Amino acid sequence: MKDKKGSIIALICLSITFWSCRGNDQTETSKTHAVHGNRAGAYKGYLAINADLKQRVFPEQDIYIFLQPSAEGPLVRLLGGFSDLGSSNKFMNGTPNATNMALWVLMAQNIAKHIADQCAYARIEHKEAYASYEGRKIKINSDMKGLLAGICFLGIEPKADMLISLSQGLWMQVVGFEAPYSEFEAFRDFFLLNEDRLSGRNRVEAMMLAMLLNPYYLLEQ
Amino acid sequence: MRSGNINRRAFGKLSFAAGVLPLTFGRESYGKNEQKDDHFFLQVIIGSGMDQSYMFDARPLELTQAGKYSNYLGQEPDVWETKSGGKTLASPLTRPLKHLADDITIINGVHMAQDFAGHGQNLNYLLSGNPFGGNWFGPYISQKASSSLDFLQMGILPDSTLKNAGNSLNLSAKDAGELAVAMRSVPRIHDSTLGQFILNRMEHASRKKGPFSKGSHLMHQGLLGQTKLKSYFARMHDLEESSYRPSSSVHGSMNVVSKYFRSGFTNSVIFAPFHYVDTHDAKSAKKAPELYEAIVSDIKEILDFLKNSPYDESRSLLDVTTVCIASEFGRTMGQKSKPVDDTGTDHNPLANSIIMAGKNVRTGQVIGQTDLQTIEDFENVSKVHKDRDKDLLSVMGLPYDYSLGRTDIDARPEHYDSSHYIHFANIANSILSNFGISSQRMWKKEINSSIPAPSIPGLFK
Repeated sequence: MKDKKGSIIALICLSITFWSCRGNDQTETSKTHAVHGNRAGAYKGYLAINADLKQRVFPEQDIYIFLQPSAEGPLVRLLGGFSDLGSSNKFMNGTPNATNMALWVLMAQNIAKHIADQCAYARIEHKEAYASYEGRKIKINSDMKGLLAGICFLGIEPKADMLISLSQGLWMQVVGFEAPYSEFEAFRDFFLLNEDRLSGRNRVEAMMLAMLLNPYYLLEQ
Repeated sequence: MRSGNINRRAFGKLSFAAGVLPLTFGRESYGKNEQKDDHFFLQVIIGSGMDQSYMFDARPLELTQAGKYSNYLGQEPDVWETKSGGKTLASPLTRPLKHLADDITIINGVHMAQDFAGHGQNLNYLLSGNPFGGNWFGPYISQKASSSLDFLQMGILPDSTLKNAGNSLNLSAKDAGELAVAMRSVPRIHDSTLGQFILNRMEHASRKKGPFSKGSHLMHQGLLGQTKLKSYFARMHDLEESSYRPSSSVHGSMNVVSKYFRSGFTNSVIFAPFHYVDTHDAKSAKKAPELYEAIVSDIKEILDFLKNSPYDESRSLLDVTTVCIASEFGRTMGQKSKPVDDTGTDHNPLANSIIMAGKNVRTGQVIGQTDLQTIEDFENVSKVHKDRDKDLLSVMGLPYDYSLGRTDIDARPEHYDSSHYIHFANIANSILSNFGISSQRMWKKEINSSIPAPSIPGLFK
């Protein structure tokens, strides 16, 4: 009787495995097919990332300026967003491809550089003590500024416990709980073990870039 | 000594030629695609339902005078004739296209989405063969040619649901310019230690099943594709613009199309210049003459641009591009209980008109025909037509004999059999065959059928 039950369970498990592995249009045709309709795996889009970074990093500045001069410019549309034309309200440009990845890389790099530039002001208390971008002084979230006051000055060979602690603070400030802890562990270990001997400023730039281009940060789950 | 001098001089001249000539040749060439059989596809969509009576399926004024067919132009149609014997009644508004009569083929009486009259359903059908949305065949053309981008879309198609649009760009001409500028600033990160770490996280996230993993995989591939992507934009930057300067607003867009084709970035484009053709109300329907004057102008400029713009030293863009110009359906003759001189027009998926041009198209033909051409025809309407349009507000494509390759103008079928008509599926499959796309991608003759719709004999060479 037990053997029979075990065989039935095995058969059911095998069937489920076979069913989930079988080819069908969803898996065998273009992988872009899978992200249509259900937005999991698509970009969160410019507005979502903008809202997130406004809350965590840039309280008074929309992030479009890190890609183009005007909020109404076309490039942010290529980062994923809803169109409101016709009878349907469709999310467009949400599927990652080489072109929109290039734009996300460009934006992330510009943001990362700008945050790193803040290192020069991180320990200055004055209310105007922020780096400029394209002629505009961009205020940084006060918690972020506090973190930068530490992490920017870690030096080329920082103490491990200080690096771990500050990098976790930075990770929580930017990524929060968007990504699983294992992603932070990979992030932490990379910067702990990285032999590139980065200065404090350059390390901040690299950390920001790594966080902003993490799929858990950019994609819907 | 003398012969040595001559040899040195000759050698010097040869070296100079060998060094300079390729540079000169390279600068003057219009960009060379590495493909052996360069073949591109341009789908022009004038969205929202063009009125075929103001184009290539016109009607004599006697129908207007009899209260059957609204005609705000108020002129008799021209007889549109081609050297190869193609013939139809065309609105005088099409006269600017007359010089292209032997460069285009007109297909009249094309049935669209069966049993659906909505914009979205018919646009989906036009693009995918499925009124509920599906895959457009443009990406197959680009993928077969190993282009980086599946397709470029210029203009908005608000009601369409394409499932394979993930690797596409939707840009205006101005957007394309800004994108090209931005591309020059994109940093190269993927071959640094940090870049490898970033790629590693994307690859790690892509290992499981599910849409998030697939998205991560696409990010990974996208990042790896940066070098190739930048090379396309660099090539576009080096390509000279066509010296042909149409006067209309399509010029900027066509230059982008030209660059995207000539750089090899993509092999498929959807171009949807906006014209308000959804003239349900009488007020907008009365503006039809100026509306279709503008549409004809755009079509003329698109085709003239392709014809007069070089692809390479020996071929024009039209020589290497198959062009399909369509709307998602035609329009009715008028509206119920409205006088023909004060009526709007509604959707008519029973009679669409398609223009084909370019590479491999057997041009100068008129294929297909609609019914209700004369007053007498209204007394002799098929049962099939009456079943679908009891008020006789629409013209309907006549049955087409695929074995003979011609319209069966005398047929008055009792029952509707889709295989007896020209549907856009037949045209799509003709295009797919022309590009050598796998028969697995062929559109079915009906949604629930497993049988592919036959190609139209003689549409392509």
